[in-house]
Amino acid sequence: MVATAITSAAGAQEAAGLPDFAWVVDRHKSMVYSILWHYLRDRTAAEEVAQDVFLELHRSWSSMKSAEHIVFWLRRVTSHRAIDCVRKRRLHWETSLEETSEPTALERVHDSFLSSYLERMVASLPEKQRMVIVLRYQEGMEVEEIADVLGMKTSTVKTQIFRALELLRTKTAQRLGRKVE
Amino acid sequence: MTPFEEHLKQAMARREPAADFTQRLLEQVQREERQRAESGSRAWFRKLRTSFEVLRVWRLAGVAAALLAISGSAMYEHQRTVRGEAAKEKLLTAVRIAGVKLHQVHRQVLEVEAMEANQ
Repeated sequence: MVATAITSAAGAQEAAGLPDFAWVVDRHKSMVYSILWHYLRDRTAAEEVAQDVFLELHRSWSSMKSAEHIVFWLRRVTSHRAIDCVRKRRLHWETSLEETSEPTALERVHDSFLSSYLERMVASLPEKQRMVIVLRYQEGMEVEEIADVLGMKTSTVKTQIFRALELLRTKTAQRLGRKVE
Repeated sequence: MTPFEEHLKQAMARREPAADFTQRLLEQVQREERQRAESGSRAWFRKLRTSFEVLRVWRLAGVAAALLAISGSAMYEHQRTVRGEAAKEKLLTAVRIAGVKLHQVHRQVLEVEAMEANQ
């Protein structure tokens, strides 16, 4: 019922070639939520900020030009909101790479545990490197797209990716006890 | 992409928010729209009321200005009448004096003429 009401409210936009708002939420909620979750590593905060991002999208709905513009807008606003959220709240989950605990014996053995280990490692990266890695490997975005979304130079994004990967490789190799390619 | 980057990509796979995420969001959107509509109509009513108040103030100012103009003009008229009356009074006195003097002169002329006729 709620979706129907929202759908009818956004009818004019739909006529102009835009998808309807409820559909956009359903289509992109995992993207927005995952960027926030990987960046914040806090389920409640991630959902809260994701809700805010979509509410903001609804308020700015009239300025949306196309489906691609909506995706770009969502990625940009989500990234900035995530960075702001960390800066404002300095959430308790924020830890440095040095503080991150050693992987358990199981993590040394199974690749599935490597994934959760890597997630924790990414969450402990410095702010800029963390967001760049989230956009690059979660969203599969190109360097130029990341630079556009974050308002950074392409060369800076490349450097951040390189540094982050070096850091992650070194730490992972140290903790797994083997070289990581 | 290196094997490490492949691992990283797997680790960074998308996740789903809570099942009721969309429902909660759309309810919040509806609440916001309702609030906006209410505050919009309230603002319209407030504007209307303000307009009426402004109109009332202007009407009062107009009435006051008109009263001031009428009383001013009445006072001016009264002053003019008073000044006119005084001028008329002065003129009448002057005419009366002139009449008396003229009468005296006329009488003297008549007396002189009578004396000349007798001689």
